[in-house]
Amino acid sequence: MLNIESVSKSFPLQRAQRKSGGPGRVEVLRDISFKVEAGTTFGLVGESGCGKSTLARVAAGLYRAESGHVRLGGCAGKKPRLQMIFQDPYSSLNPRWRVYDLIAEPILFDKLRKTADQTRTRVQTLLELVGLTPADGAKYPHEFSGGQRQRISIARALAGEPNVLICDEPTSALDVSVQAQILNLLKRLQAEFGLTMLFISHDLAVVRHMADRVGVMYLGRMAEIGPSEQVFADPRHPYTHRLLAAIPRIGKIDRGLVPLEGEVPSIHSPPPGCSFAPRCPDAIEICHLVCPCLTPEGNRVFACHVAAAKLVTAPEWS
Amino acid sequence: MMNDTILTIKNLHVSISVDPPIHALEGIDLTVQRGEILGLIGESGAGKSLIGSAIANLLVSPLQISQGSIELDSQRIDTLTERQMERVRGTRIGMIFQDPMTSLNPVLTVGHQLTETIRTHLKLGRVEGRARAVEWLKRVGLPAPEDMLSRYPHEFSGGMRQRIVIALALCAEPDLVIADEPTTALDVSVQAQILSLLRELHRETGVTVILITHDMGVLAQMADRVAVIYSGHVVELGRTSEIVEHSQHPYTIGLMRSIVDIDTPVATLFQIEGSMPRPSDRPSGCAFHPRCPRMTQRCHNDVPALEGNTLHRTACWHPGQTSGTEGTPKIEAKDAAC
Repeated sequence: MLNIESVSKSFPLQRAQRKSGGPGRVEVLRDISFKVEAGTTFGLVGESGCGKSTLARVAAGLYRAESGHVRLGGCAGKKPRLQMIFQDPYSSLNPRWRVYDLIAEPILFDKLRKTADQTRTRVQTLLELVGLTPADGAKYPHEFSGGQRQRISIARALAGEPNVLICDEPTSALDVSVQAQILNLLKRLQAEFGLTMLFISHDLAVVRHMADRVGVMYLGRMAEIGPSEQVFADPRHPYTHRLLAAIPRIGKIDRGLVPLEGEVPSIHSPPPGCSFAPRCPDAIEICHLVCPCLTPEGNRVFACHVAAAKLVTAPEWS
Repeated sequence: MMNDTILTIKNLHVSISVDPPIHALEGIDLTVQRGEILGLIGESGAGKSLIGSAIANLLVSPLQISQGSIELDSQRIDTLTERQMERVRGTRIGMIFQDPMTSLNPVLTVGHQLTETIRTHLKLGRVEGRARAVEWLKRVGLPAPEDMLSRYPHEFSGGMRQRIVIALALCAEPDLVIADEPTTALDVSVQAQILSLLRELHRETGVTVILITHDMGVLAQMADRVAVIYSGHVVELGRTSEIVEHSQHPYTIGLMRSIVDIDTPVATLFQIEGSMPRPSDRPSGCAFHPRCPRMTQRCHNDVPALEGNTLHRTACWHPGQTSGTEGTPKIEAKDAAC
C-alpha cells in the first residue's frame, strides 16, 4: 500500500552552521526502504534526531525526497488517499476554527459529500466515531483537553477518507491513561476501516503494541526492520538490543537498568562506518570503516556486520 | 535509618485565593525518611510538581500555601522569609528540573555557575571553589572537566546539560534533593544514564531524594517508596514493591494497567474512562469517584482518609486488589471523553 524505495533526504545548512571545507548539506535520511502492506501498521522507532519525523513528512509528501520514491497504492480502483495526525494537539488545530469546521474542511476541500446536509451528517458521525458528541462541533479547540483534541485530530484525518494514515507521535503529549484511550481508539478505527498506518513513536512499548512490522532508525538509517514480535523479542541489531535494555521496566524491581554508553553522534559529522559503532560494545574493526548494508534474514533485515557474520557461519557449524 | 524523618508535610493546602478558594493541593500529609528516595507519581495536573515547589518555597502567585506546615529537620520552612529561604535552598534543598536549558543560565559559563554556587553556599575561596567544580563535573561523568568549565550551556547535549544541573543541585551538599521529572525531556538511552548517575550519587552521598515523575517504570527502578497523587490528594502511599504489585486504590490499579508494557503485549489496553477533574471542579467526596468502578454513595459523600500501615496506605472506601470482572477493558468510545 505504502512503498518507500531508497529514500534519501538532506537539508541545506545555513552559512553559520557550515564548517569550512565541510559539506553544505546535512544528510537526514540515507537510503531508507520499506513497504507497508494494506491494512497493517508499520512502526518507526528511534531516538530524537534519528529522522523518523522527516521520514513521516517525506511519506506524506510534505517534503520531497531527494532520491528514491514514495509510492502509494490505490485500493479497489479508488485513488489512494493519505492523512496525517501530529504529535501536538494544541498546535495542529487552528484555535480560531470551530471543531465542526475543522472536521468539515477535508470533506469540503475534496468535495467528498454533495450537499450541506450530507456534510453535516458526516461530521456528526465522525464526532461520535471518535467518542465525542455532535454538540462538541460548536466548540473551539481550547475547550477540550489534550486527549479530546487528539480525538478531534483523528476525526479530521478520517474525514478525508484516507486509506493510509500517518501518525507522528500521536500520544507523546498525553498522559498514560489518556494514551491508552487514544491507542485503543486508533486500533479500533484501523480494524473498522482497514486503514494502513505508519506509526511513529520514540516509545518502544507503544510501537510494539501498535505495529505489525517495525523499523528501528538510528542517525538517518534503518538499523533493522522486521515483524514487531521478532524485533522486540529477539533483536538482531545491537542498538535495538541496548535500547530495549535501557527502558525502565515496572516488572523488574531488580534495578536491572543497563544504560547505553555515550550519545548519538552529531548528524553533521556522522562516523565513517556504522553510525552505531562508537557506542557499540560488539564493534569490530570493520564496523568503524565500512557502513553495513541491510542483510536479509527470513522476513526481516538488519544492518550489522557482526550479526551478519553470525548468520553466515552459524548453519555450517551447527 | 528507620524513623529518622527529614521532612514532614502536614495537611498541606496549596490554593488560589479566589472566592471560594481553589485548592490545587488539598490536605497533603507526607513524611520523608532520611536517605530514602520517595517517588511522587501522578498525571499532569495532579499536583505532584506543586508539592515540590511548595517544599522549596517556589510557588508562584496566585498559588500559595493556605494551610498546613512543612518541616525540614523539625524546623518550619514554609513560614521563612525569602531571604532565609535562599539559605535553605542550595545548602539544605537542591532542585533538579525537567528542562536543563531553563535551569542553566545561557549567558554564563558552566564553570562560572558551578563555582559561584559552591563558593556562595560553602563559603570557599576562588581556587578551592574551582577545584570543587572540576571535581563535581568529573563525578557527574563529564569528559575533560577542566575544559568544560569555560563552555556555555548551549554547547552541551541535553543529557550532558542534565548532568551539569545535577552537579549544580548537589554541589552545595544539600540534605534533600527534589528532582522534578529529571529525565522526561531525554531519550530513553540517555534517561538510563541519568537515572544510573542519580542512583550512584544517592548511594555515595546518602542524600534524600524526592523524585517526581509520571513514569511508573522510572519509579519502579529508583524509588524506595511511592506516593500516588490524584487531583491534589495522596491516594496511595507505600513501599514501591507494594504499590507496583499489590496496589489497592482503583486509580493506581487502573493507571498501572493502562501502561503499555513492552514485555507482555495485549490486544486492547485497559483504559480508565474520563479524565482527571480540574481543582476548580473537583467532585464531592472521593475525587476519583466519577471514574471509579467501585463507586458507592459513600464515595460520593465523604472524602476517604489515607489509612493502613507503614508499608502501605490507601485513601479509598473500598480498597482491595482488583477482582477478575472489574478489570475488563472497555472500548466503547462513546463512553470515553478524555
